[in-house]
Amino acid sequence: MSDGTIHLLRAGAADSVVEQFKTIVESERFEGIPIAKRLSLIITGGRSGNAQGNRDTPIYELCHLVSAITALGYKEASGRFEFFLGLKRATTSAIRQLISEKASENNWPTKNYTLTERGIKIITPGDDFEIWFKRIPVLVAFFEFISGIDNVTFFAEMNDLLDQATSEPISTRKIKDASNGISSKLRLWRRSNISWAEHEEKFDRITPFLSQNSSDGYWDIDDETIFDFWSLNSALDKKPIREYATVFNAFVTLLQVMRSGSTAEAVSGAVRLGTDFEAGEFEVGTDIELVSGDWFSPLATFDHPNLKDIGFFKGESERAPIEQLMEYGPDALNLSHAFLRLESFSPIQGIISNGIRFGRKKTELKTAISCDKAKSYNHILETFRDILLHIEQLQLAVIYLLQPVEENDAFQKIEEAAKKAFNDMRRKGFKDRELNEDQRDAFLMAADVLPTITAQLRNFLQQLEQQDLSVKFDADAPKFSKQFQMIYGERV
Amino acid sequence: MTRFKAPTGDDLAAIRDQFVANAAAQSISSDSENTVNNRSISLSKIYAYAKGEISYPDQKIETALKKTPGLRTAYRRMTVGVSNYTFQRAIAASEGDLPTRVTVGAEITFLNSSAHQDRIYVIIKLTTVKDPVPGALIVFDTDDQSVRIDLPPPQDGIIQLLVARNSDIITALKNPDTSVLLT
Repeated sequence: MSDGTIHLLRAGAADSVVEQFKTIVESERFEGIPIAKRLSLIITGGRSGNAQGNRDTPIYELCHLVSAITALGYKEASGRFEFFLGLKRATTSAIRQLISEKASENNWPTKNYTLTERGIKIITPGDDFEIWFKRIPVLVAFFEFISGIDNVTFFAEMNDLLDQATSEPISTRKIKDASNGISSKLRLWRRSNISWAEHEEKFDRITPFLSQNSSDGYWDIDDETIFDFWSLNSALDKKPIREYATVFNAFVTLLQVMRSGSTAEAVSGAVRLGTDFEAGEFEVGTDIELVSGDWFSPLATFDHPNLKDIGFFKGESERAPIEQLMEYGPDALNLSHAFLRLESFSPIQGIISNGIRFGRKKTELKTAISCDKAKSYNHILETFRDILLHIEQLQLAVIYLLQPVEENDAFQKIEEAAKKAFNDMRRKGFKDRELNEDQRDAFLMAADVLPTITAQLRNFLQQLEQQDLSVKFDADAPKFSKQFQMIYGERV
Repeated sequence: MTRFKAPTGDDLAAIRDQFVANAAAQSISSDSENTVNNRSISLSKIYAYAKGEISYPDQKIETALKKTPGLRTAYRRMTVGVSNYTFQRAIAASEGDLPTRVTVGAEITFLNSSAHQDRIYVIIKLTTVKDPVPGALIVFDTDDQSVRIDLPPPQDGIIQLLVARNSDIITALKNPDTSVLLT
């Protein structure tokens, strides 16, 4: 088989991975639950934030969860299907309620299981193991995903492994055996179904670049590093990395990996978590706070079905402009100039590459290459300021709707402003102060994430307030125009 | 600016692995957002189908089941999980006849319709009525291909329905190697 054939097969396989993934994360039961990023990391063996453990840890967690739900009465395969595939809404609160009810029916705490404030604790002679309620939605999605791999041919085998893991008497050894069986399958599946080559190529291009530009054995990553790398690599004859957005993304990924606790340990030379994958054995850290430190876009919450009917954001003018800022979170703050370049010039690059693909008029392409129509940095900041003002009003209006029943000093101080914000908010869902249970839940969800959005916007604006953005933009526009000319000039 | 001590050797290899895995995860996520046509069906939907929460026949699901043996096996396992009565293969009757099926708590027999030559009665006798009462009869062959028919509510423990002699369900029931589930 030629390399080309292998590549095509892999590309085809990757397409089906994406389809399977999309079907799950966009299904009704996960609507508005930000699981996409976490599920994709579990699938590829990635890790973020202060994640502990190794790439197989989620499988070990899943097997422990299977043993716990068996003890809650979800027995055998039929019970597992009911819990993992039958949940209509896989939200943390729905899962918490369900598990609490089942725990009470099954007279928990028992010798081996108990409920804590945060989740389920599994008590074993060695270590106790806790699975947090907020972790369970992504494990439910993972169960569904892994059950469907290889055209669902693994489904039967996986359930046989889990049957063995939950046969009486349940033991840590049996759970490890099932985990190892599933891990071993997943490793093989990853090799043949995920396209690694393009990402390996990026890493192998970026790291020598960083080392070459280092004089003291340190890698320095800032806004200019990203721009310089893109300038060098975007117009190469062989294997160029053309898109600025791709380069920005790759550097953000590298920063995240470098910052992650486990890799930091690896860099410092400490014992790495994760042992011999190929031997099929692994040990798991006792701290299973796998994802709590992760950033995910707070805007995803507004995709929840109960929130969609409330006019929090106008899609085009109030949500779309802040999508990337919310997506990149703290990394957009650390790389604020590089991020502004992304916001301003990446859409222009999109116009050029799509224009070439679809045979647009040369004059249109030349106009795009000139960057005359790029959004200026000041324009972007003005948009962010307007949206921040809107979200501050939203926050006040939501506070007014959810105001505490009892007298509360903190609320009294903002009562007038909150009332005014509510009265001025001429949006769907803000007319009536009487809320039914679903509406109240929806506003509570919004109240949970709106402060994160305002904080992110404020921090970004504050960071750039002292800078002369006109000068920066005026300097950048010709640089991008020149680079676009180098990349696309021959085809225009 | 962010500074890191430049990693080397095994540390660099570990970071490379992690970078590649994280970047691949990001690709899956963003490709998923950009995918418009999606032919995939989630297993939770197949489970809802097995439970009868999605009406039969659902064309998209049936096509997927026909094309994907693994999905059929999964569907069968799910259906077994939600069924109250499972009839294993029947004792072969003479060719062309419909073999009686017996399991704990239920029996399936057949009776020719005297009024309609081309029709046949399927009679399900529930000797032990379990909760919930069955709402569908599903026949699986050895290849996990299945045919399903909705059932009327039982009257005094008997479910009776009249079906066409040349229907898929009768063809499947004639084959003694098929297994039958009431869900």
